[in-house]
Amino acid sequence: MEERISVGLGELHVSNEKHHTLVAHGLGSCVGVVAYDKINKVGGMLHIMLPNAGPEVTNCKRAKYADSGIPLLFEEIEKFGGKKKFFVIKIAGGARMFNVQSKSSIFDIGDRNIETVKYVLGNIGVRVHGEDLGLNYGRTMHLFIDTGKVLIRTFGKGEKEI
Amino acid sequence: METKTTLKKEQLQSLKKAITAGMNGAAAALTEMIGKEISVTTPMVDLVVLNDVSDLIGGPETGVVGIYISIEGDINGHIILMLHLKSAYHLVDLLMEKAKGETVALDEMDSSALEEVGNIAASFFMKTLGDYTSFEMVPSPPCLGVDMASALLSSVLVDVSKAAEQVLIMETIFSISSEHVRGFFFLFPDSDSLEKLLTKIRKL
Repeated sequence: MEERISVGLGELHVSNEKHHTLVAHGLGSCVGVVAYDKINKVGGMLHIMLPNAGPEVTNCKRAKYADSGIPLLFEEIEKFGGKKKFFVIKIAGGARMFNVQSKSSIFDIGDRNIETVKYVLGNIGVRVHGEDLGLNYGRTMHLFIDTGKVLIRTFGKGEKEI
Repeated sequence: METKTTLKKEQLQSLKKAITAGMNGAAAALTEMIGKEISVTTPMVDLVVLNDVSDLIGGPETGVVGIYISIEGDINGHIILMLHLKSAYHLVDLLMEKAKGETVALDEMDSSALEEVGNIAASFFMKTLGDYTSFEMVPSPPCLGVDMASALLSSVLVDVSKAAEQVLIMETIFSISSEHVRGFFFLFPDSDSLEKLLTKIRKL
């Protein structure tokens, strides 16, 4: 029986249970990062909100930011026996949900999230195998732990595997 | 982690009073715009944990219309007026004097009518709250999005979530000539602005 585990804003979840599906609901400017080890059948999902953690960030908030969250995701998967060299990485989100003209730069956050996620992954030396990024609509990201399949569902724009 | 902003019951109470005054101002302006008696009630004002915000509107993937307006001035923050798709269609029927149920998708005209509702509601809300607190607040032009509730909300939450894990929100019910359209008026002051508002309200 499939069990869905919701990965909320600024959260991270890792599993090696075949019946688990990890789900990040309604990613807007946030980015969902999935890493999956096909050999050991363990994977994790990270739901970042912002690109960079300030110096004040404590342990429990690391998953909120791309720069601190991605290393944390990898560490957690490795604790479950996953190996970085087997990781398949998929990323989704980073949309611009409102096309606002304002002084505030918050609506560029999607682009900055994408940029930082790619930069951090590049620094660690892993390749992105699939992505569905940017534009102006929300996405729900699913990771099926038994197969590693990643499915993106949208509102009125269908669904696809990446 | 301990959040920076914790509100006492009496603070929420006085905040609710200020916000209700703001919403009444918005209702009066909407009545004038539409030419039908509109009243607004605000049954809930509360601080909500980030991940619970979209549950209020029926879950993160609920299809909604969101009208976004930013607040700049003495108080900085964001407003989103959010309606379930069905409620938005219903509101368009009322605004455009169509038969109930006629609207099944939003065309450009419908969208701008809804943006205008958001614009008027937000502007008068800010004006009334401004008169009450003598803070100056300037609204941005409205901007409409149709998507999953969480996708729209989280894109704004990122800005206020840096300091706090909770946000201030309120629920609003619009009643138009005895037809009720349930909507959510989300007010997200940044954490400095929330402090400022509370300090001011305490002195009033």
